[in-house]
Amino acid sequence: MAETYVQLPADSTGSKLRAISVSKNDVTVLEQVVRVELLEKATLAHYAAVATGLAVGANVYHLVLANNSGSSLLIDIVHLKVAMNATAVVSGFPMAFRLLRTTDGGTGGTAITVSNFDTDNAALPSQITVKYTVTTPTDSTVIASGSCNPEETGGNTETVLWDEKLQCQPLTVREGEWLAVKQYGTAGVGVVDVTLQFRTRSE
Amino acid sequence: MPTEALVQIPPTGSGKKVRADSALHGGNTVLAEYMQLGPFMNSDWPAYSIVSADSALLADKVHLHIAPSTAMEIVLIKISHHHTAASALAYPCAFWLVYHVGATGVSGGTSIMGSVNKLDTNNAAASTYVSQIYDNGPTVVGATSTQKVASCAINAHAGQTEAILYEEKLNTQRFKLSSGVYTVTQYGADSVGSIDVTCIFRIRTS
Repeated sequence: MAETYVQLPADSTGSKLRAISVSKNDVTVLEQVVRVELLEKATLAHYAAVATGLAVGANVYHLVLANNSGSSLLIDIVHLKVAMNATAVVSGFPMAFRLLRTTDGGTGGTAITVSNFDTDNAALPSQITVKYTVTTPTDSTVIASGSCNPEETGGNTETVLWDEKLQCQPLTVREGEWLAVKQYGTAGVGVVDVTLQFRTRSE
Repeated sequence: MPTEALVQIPPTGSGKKVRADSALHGGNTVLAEYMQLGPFMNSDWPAYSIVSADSALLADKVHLHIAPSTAMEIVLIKISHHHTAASALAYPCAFWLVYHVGATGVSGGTSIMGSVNKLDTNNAAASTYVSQIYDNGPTVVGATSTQKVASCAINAHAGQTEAILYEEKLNTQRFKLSSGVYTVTQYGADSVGSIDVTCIFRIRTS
């Protein structure tokens, strides 16, 4: 590919665009300065839900995000992380946690108070909820998987199940859809925190 | 040596407004246009994920097998290890991303096409774009040669439970599959426990 340039009309009398003048291939060209918006997506409401001190257990649904019908919003997952800790020495081993869709919201569970990243954000509609320790929603497809090792001489106490910045893709939860973080089929040891960040938008 | 300069545009008109930041540079009031990084990166193309779960570690095992039928781009391949009990017999374990040139078929293993997840449920079915997705130790058929694309390792004993085999954002390159078969293949030793393989991909439909 050859480098080239576009030659603009002669300078006019209007506003001035900032640029940097450089010499490329013996031609003086201008590179326009653009300001990358530091607060990306800042015009969309952004929320966090953190469940802490969750007891491990085989096939436990540590977190369920529900976007029930009637919210009139789409949810995009920005970041979802599982972190393990212990309050005493434990004999641990690598444990798996999976991000999956479910076809319902299950029953029970404890609602988490969702935090606004900007206190000017609109309150979430009642149809959008985040709960922990929900009972038996119906599993659909698994989206991503990760693992942690709570063993005190081990490592890797955290796993990022989803990060929009790394995945380069939106993960969308439409109306009438659910998303869950589920532990694999072994009880294991330790304590789990789950951090979820998401943003809402209209279609 | 670069120097500060400016381009002077025609006087402000009456049309749409482009957001800009006004600042004084070199004695001139200049505008720097705001650029917003795409809030929904690459969202013009359908994206999917597939997870091969609870795949027991085994020497030379193919943990994931993908055969594209159109141009697909790998976003992420992650290996995560788990176990059901502590084991002092475990050790670091390697995995390779292997391109099987000219391969067309598969024998054995289990098709997991039905487990492919749409990152947006409005996407078309993944089978529209991908001809084979298998796990559980399939054998690649018809390859004329193989090429290793990437390598990573987890430590099944203690320490690193996860490894990234490919990450588009880190590699800053487009990794496009359009022919043959790609596999996530374990190296030539067993180790202990099981892995999940997470693969996220998109289809460039235009």
